[in-house]
Amino acid sequence: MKLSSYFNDFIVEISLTEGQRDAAKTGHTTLRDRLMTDESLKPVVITTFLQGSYKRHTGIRPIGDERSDVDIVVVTNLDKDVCVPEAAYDLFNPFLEKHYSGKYRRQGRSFGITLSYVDLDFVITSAPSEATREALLSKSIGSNLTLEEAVDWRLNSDWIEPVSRRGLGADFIRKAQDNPEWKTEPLLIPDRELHSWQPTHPIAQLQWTRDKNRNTDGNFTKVVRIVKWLHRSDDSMPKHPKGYLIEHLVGEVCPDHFSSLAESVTISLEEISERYAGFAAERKVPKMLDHGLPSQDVFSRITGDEFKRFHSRISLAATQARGALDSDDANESASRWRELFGNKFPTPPGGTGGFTPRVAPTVPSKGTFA
Amino acid sequence: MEPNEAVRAGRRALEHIPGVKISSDFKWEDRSSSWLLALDITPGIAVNPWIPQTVSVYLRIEINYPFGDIRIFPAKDSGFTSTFEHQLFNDAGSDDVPYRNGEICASSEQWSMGTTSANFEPYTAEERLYSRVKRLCEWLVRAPNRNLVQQGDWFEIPHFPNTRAGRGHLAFIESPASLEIWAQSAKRIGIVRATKLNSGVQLITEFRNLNGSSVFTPSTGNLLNKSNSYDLGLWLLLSEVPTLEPYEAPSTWGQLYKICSIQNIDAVGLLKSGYPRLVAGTNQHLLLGFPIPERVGGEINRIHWQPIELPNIEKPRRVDGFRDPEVFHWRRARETWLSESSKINWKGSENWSSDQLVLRAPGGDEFENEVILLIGAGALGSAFVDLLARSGIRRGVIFDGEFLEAGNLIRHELTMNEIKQPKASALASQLNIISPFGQFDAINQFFNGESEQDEISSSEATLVIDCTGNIAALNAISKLNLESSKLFVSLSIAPNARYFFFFVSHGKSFPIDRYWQSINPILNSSEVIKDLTELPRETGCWDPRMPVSPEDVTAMASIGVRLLREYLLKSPEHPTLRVFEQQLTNDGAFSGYVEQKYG
Repeated sequence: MKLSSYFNDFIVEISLTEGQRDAAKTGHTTLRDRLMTDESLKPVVITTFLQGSYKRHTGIRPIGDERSDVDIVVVTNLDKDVCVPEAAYDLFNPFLEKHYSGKYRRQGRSFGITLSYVDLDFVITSAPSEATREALLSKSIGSNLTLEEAVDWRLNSDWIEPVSRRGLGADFIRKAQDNPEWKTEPLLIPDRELHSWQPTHPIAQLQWTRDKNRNTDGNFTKVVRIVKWLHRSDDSMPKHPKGYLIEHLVGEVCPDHFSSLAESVTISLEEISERYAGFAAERKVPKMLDHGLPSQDVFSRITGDEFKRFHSRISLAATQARGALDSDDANESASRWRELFGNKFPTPPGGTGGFTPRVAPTVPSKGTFA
Repeated sequence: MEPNEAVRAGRRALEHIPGVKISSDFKWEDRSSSWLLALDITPGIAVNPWIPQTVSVYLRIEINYPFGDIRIFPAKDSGFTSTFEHQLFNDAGSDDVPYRNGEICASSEQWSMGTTSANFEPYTAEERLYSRVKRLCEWLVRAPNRNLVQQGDWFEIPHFPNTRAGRGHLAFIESPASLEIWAQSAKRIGIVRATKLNSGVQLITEFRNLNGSSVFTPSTGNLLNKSNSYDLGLWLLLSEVPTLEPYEAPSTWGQLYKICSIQNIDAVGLLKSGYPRLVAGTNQHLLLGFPIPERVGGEINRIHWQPIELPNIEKPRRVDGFRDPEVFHWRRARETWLSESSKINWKGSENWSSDQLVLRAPGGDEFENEVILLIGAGALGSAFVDLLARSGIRRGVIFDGEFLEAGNLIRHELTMNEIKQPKASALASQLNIISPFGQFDAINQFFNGESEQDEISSSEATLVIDCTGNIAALNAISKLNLESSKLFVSLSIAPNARYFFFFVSHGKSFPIDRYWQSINPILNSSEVIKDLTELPRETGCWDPRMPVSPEDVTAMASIGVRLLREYLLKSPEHPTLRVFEQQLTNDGAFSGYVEQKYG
């Protein structure tokens, strides 16, 4: 059975809590405010915007000592032909020492900041093209809302956050949907290991995710979270692929226009199992082309063994999901889903023993008078 | 507002009901501080004119689930528009909500689907919503099959729009007895008169024909007999309950005319004849009456009146082109607020018949025809007679020569408003406002059994009740020599409320010797004597005060009423003393009252 209410509650349980969302928001808004107002960076920083699983709403709830993480893009006016990657990073040292001393580290392509309540990761970009610059300075790209919080997000000058639309007519709101979006180009980020500026296209990722979510009746980002959760809770899963790689893979297979999460999850797992069976059998890794940079294969670092083990676990999960979906008995179906997804999936009423609600209670609801 | 785990668990349980689909998950509704849950239900019904085979409803669940209200409404979209039994009037309701007003009564406490036992609702998170929706499914099956009510069920009046069943600011008094009066009257329309109480409620005092002659004057108590009555408007009596299929009250005048026509009643003609008798101004009503049974399929039991508030009635004035201004005003009314499409402004009403008002108390009508003579309007007497008046006793005379003092209030039913007043008349006034039927009078003297008024009061009474705890009063009662037998009762409390005494006899005189024979052994017991020698005093005052707490007075008055009910059903064969002793544990804690057997 589809058990839509069970899946709705399961999604709540594996997503960020309200406290974690608030903490993430505090962390990234503080960082972005500081980046924009820091005297040492004022000549350099143009704007900032959110990217990554937090923005796309595909991140899952941290467990134990883990913290949620937020990815930020810092757009600068650095000339890639003049400024070497190392020097670009050095520009941010005073800022980081001032505000995050002892809490930051340089990574290959980003800075990581570890706070008690959230992890922040920001990348630096070189100067964008003029066309892209206008989009990057817009309210649209600067919004703090995730793609599930702003399902009608559009990258144009007409889009504003829902809370600011009060009093505006329907025509104004329709304009954002009808008018075209800015055409943007990939951004370049400094790669310390490669000693060169490398392309990335976070905006294209956002747009692709938004469109996919729309085509799947809002289920895509939820299916991603569920499969990520499956990966994390199954000890026999290999460490990789994980994170964005799982998200990308689900994006390839998630069916359009299934209104129930149960069906979307089941078909996605079955598709992974069937479509890539040949690759797994031969210990090969399928190419997964980046949505913004089609020349790049996001699965390039996955080994054949890893993919085979991953595929095997997914195939087993697909069988379990199909059994749960096809069951006509609500108790049995709920128990099977729970067996697949773990104890964050709600228990059927009465526990796994089954639900036999009383017709009348042993104690009347109105037994006394006063 | 995020739904909590309890309500989420309740909602998940609905997935276990075949034919129920959650079409839209929780949405918070600010105006009702509740969550809305939309369901599509396919209860397995045949095609019918009223309810689609898959019907949409909204559940409105209060924030403190599994407690609080769960209310169910047909959806505006894919719901249904008819009104059935066990449902409120199903109009479209407010524009800003997705559901209609026709709340479906699927609570187990409201009807038990033909069973005689009451079904109670489970109050766990998983079960309550499940249970309610299961009953909803059953309602949806029964409604189009027209078997929501069955022979023998308690009869339910259709819900009139914008009213609350059994509640209103207009009250009438109708009973099986008054039904006989209506049955003999051939009239269908007339003038209704009312009086306004301090509370703002208008109580119907008389039904008259259009020519002014009286049809029916309900019997009421002293308070109301003294009030001013006025013309409230018209009454119009139908032959049957006015409903459209399936069980919908008319909401427009056109629907009402049609219903009347089916009953062979020319409503327009009758209203036209009565219209000139309406009083100019506001507060004019049309009372629509119809006979109702107590149970479905049972005999007609009484008339129910449902008020319609009329708009401002204009004072007839001379109008060009009309010889008779009444004709002009009638035509104008007929073209405006009495036109077919015009909405009826229904108001709520209540039946204050004595059998309806005492329904909340169990027991029969033992007290209804009794007339009491109460001697002693002190603490016990006031508590005792207060309970009797609330239980249905309507008439009586109270004797007491004392005045109410502030120190009495600890145990007395009267209030600060009455101090320094004679206890008897103050208590009688209080009793007359407890019930609309109270006809209590007072004589502000001590009863001596010899004066003319003592004798008259005694002869008219059916119950002679002593609550004095006073030897002189008992002697006075013993002097009575009556022509017919009465029930004599004497109630008293021993110091420290150790004992409660209820002495009862039936005869033409009070057997005082037998009384003392019964009670003296107990009064002379060592415990009572000890209590009597240690009575408290007010500072500076020699006279002792009786140490009985207010809760003991109330408890003993309650015991007295219970015993009196029994003896009204069956008179005592011989004079009887019933003694109840307060029980205390070794540590002095209260553990009840137990009847003791003596002699």
